Amino acid sequence: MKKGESTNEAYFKVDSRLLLQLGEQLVSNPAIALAELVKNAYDADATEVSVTLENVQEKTGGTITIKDNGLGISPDRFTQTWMRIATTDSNDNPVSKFFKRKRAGEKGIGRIACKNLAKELTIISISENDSGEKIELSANFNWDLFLPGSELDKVPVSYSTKIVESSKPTGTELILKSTANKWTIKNIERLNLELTDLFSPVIFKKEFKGQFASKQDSGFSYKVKADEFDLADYSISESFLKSAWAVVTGTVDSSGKAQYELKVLNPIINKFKKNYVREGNFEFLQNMHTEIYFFKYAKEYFKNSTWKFQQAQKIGRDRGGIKIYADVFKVYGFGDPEDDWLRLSDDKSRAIGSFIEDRIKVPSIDRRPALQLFDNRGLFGYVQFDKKSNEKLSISINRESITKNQAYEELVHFVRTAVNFATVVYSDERLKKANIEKAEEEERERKVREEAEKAQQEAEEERKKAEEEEKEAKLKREEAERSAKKKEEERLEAEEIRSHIESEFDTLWDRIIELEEKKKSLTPHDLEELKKLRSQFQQIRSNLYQAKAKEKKLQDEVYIEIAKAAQTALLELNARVTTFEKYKEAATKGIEIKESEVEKQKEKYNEELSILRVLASTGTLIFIFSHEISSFISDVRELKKSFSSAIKKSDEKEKKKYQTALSLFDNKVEMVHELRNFIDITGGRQSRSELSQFFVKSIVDDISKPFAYETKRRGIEIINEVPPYIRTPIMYRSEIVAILINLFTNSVKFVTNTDERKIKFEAYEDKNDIIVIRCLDTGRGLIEEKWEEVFDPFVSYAELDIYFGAGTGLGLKIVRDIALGYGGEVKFVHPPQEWKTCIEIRLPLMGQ
Amino acid sequence: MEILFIDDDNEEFTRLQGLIDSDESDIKAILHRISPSENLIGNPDVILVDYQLTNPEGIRKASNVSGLDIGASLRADHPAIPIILFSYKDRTKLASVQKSIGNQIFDEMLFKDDFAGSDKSLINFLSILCKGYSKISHVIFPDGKFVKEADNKVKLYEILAAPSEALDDIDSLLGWNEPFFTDDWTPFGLASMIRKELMDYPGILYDTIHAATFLGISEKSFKKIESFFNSAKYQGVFSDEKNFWWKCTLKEIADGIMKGDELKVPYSHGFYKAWKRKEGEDLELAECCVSKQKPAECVCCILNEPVIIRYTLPYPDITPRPPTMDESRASFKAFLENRAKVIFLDKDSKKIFDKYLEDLKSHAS
Repeated sequence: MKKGESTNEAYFKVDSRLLLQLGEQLVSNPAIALAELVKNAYDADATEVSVTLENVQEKTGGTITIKDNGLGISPDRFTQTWMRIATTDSNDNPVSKFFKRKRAGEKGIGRIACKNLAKELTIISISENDSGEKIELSANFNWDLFLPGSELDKVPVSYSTKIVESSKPTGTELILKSTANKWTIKNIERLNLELTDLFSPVIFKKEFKGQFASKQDSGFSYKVKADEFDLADYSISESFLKSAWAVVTGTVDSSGKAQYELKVLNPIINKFKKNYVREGNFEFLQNMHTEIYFFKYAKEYFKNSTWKFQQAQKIGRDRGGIKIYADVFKVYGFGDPEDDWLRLSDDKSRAIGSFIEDRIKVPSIDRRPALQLFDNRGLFGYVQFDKKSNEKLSISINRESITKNQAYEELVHFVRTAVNFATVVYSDERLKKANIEKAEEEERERKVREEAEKAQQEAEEERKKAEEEEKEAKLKREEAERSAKKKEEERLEAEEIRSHIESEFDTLWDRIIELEEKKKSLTPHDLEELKKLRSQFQQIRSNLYQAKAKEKKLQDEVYIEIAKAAQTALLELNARVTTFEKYKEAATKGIEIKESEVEKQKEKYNEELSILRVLASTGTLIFIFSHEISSFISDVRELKKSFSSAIKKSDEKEKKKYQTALSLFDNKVEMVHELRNFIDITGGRQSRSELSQFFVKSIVDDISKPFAYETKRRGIEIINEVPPYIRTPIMYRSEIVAILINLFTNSVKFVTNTDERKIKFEAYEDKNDIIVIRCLDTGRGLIEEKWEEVFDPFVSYAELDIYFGAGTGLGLKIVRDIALGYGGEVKFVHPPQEWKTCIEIRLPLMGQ
Repeated sequence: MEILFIDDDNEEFTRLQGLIDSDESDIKAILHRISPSENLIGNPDVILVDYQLTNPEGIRKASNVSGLDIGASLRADHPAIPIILFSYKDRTKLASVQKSIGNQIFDEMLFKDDFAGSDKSLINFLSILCKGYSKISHVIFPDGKFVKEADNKVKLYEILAAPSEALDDIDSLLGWNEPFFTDDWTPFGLASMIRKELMDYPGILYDTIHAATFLGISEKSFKKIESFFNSAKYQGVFSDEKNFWWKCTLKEIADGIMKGDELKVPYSHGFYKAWKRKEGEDLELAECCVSKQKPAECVCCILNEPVIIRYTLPYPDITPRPPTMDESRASFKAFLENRAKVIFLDKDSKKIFDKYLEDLKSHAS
């Protein structure tokens, strides 16, 4: 070796600052730091742990004690493991000594974090050695000594050991003195929450016994004591979960196959179970389990629950979410109130009808199931996976994130599919219920109508019967009247006879009186006559009596007959009244039926009217917007002009850069300008008030022009093959524009994601003076079963388009309404080869 | 140049000031602002009136007084100052009715769109207008007042720098306008006649597209040989606004090189042949916007594109044009593009157009 040459070895030294930095960076908040220490107790086979916080509320300098009844730390373990940063202990000893619990300790970040919690740490731990002796270890860490600049392995930590009575229980007590921060109720709540959710809910479940710990494991419980605070119980009771609409359990087996089972707890219609098997296998996931309770905060689900509806809503806000557990322990952050790892809030806020990604699609009856998507507030559950068989799911050291890779995406899909499955079942159930209710309502209405119709019919029949009765009574009355008349005639005859006899009697009587008065001077002839007269008198008197009697009898008979006639007349009148009453009844029922029909129609019109009102106000908004945009465009142009003149002064390179940006910007401004003009032409008064025949080719050009920039950007070719002479019937410009723009934008949406992107308009005039306009595209096509359905209002199969938005499902309805209004029609037809969709509009050129 | 802006909203003024500041013209312009209730200040060369005036408190709502009212009263008091309606709102807000009223009050109705974002200079435009006004005032209204004199017509010819062949047409234009201002000429009246009739309707003067099409050649060709027609160029008042040529002088110059058969056909069919013969140069011909045939013979009044006459139909103007001017004709293309309306056609024209459509159809099949 020459002079000045030497070979040496150098070593990394670790500065004490590292401890501080590790502590700060690994553990984001004190609650998590304490939770980490509680985990250590679990690893040490403790069955109970208590966390006591004293004098921490008002000031710093309090004390936190974590005490467990585990196996304790032996002196060897203390020096070799406890004092070693980033120890591999949990890798070397993956299960605990006694209960064979799957250990979590990871790299021992809990104890590093102690430095940030308090200035001083004291450990008192009693363990049992191989020969059955109980050894107490006491160690004291004064963190102030670990000054930045000092070497970590040069700062001494003093500890002592002694043998203690064998009756003393094993266990560890960590005393954190002189706490560094004040604890608020929020911190304590967070601590409580973290501890509540720290362990996977499955580990002590019967069905999992033996999987995460030995069967003898009697469980693990914690207690937080903080007398300064008023602490509530944070565990979610089973009675609460029972108020859920349903629970879904899902598993991924060792081949990556995912299966789900949904069990309805509080039915919308019926209680049932339903299974779903996901198509295909997960590439990176296996041995995974999820259980999710689904809540919709509707009063009907809490009818039988001990939980009040509002109370439940609050719990949902505070505690809802799906947690992730790797083996036994929670991965912090996931499923916390602000977390949306399943992108539920995101999707819900966009109000998309269908699930966009195919991978998480679940077939459904309802066409827009995603509108019913559950959000985090309504979900209580977890996903738990086995770390060993899911190596690609890599959890960060601080256990607060999972590396975003394909495996993580699969994990999201696994759980999201469970949510979507429940959502689809839920929305289908809702739809079914709505259909049932509708059917019931219709049935009710039908019954009411039927009853009314029946009543009407019955009334009608009764009316007829009454009418018959009336007729019969009339006949009887007439009969009685006739016979009364006859009797009267007879009576009159008898009266005449009587009166004749009476006059005869009177004459005779007068003669007898006359002769009687002449008594003294009666001649024999007279006497003879008188005698004769007297005998005649007897006879006539008797005749008269008879005649009178007969007349009287006849008179009575006449009365009877008249009474009879009157009686039948009354009957007839009654029957007539009944007829009228029944008639009225039938008519009333008829009116009722009509009224209910009218009422229904009215409801329908009111609904339509409200939609129209909304549309009308949207129209106004569009015009305000259009005017505002126009003034905005001129501002932007003005600004651009100033900017252009400003950049003229800058150097060549800069100038070029700005000019390129400016010309791109210019394109956009011009596009907005074109669109605005288009809105004006289409929606302007003239467009709505002036009837004319329009040349279709030019309208197609007018429509595609404002979107030229966007369609070009998407590589869509627009072919306008409408012959120049094709004219519309006499109509409003806004109508033909509405027809064509709806077809155009639909096609643009459908061709955007396909390989070939072409849209063609063609038209011809057929023999019957009907113009036929066709719009063809090379999009993803529409199956024939849906050809009619898409014309129903609010039905849309278009997916959300970033530029054109999601379909309202009104476009084709509007197209059809306009076409029908002109006696025309619109329908999908089989497209010619090389095209995927063809929609055809036929408009008669009547009155041209 | 002093510009006065009448508006009650400081924001609009700031924006106008911004527009003027960004103007790259060399002319120095000073902008003042007054509210509609104030009296005119200084000695403005031109007045701009905002279309939409707000109420005195500046709260944005339509006040009873509009720019039209203010303009009308200013116009009566100041016939010798150009007054312009200037709006930040969009053009569509001014309905055609207001436009026709506006034409009788204002020299021009301008919108910010006309200048913002384009290379057109507002200051240049205003200065041309002022220059024209001052020339008219100087020659015809020397003491600020019009005195009816026999030689006023001659003075008008003078400010128009009109060739003698055009005088009859100008007289006829004056006659058409007689009811409006013969007894009481005002600079505004004259300026309107010149700018809104003489220069606006092709007939006595031609702009580039009309001049080129009249000669049967494309605009591009015409610009190339423009110097040949230098003496036909309109040099009169407001001539800086746009290039115009006297139609009569164009004819005269063209006649100068045309011979024999060339003279028996319209200029559009004879001139380019004469040019070829004389200069040995093929001129690009005006292309018909309907049939693509060449040369086109006239200009479509709607699309402002060259067209062969048989592909056009007489089309009514919204406001009647002076009879001295060329007939207004719209091309079939304008109808096919829904820009011109078939319902405005008379019966005979409609028949012609239907026949054209039939031809198109049979041609297609």
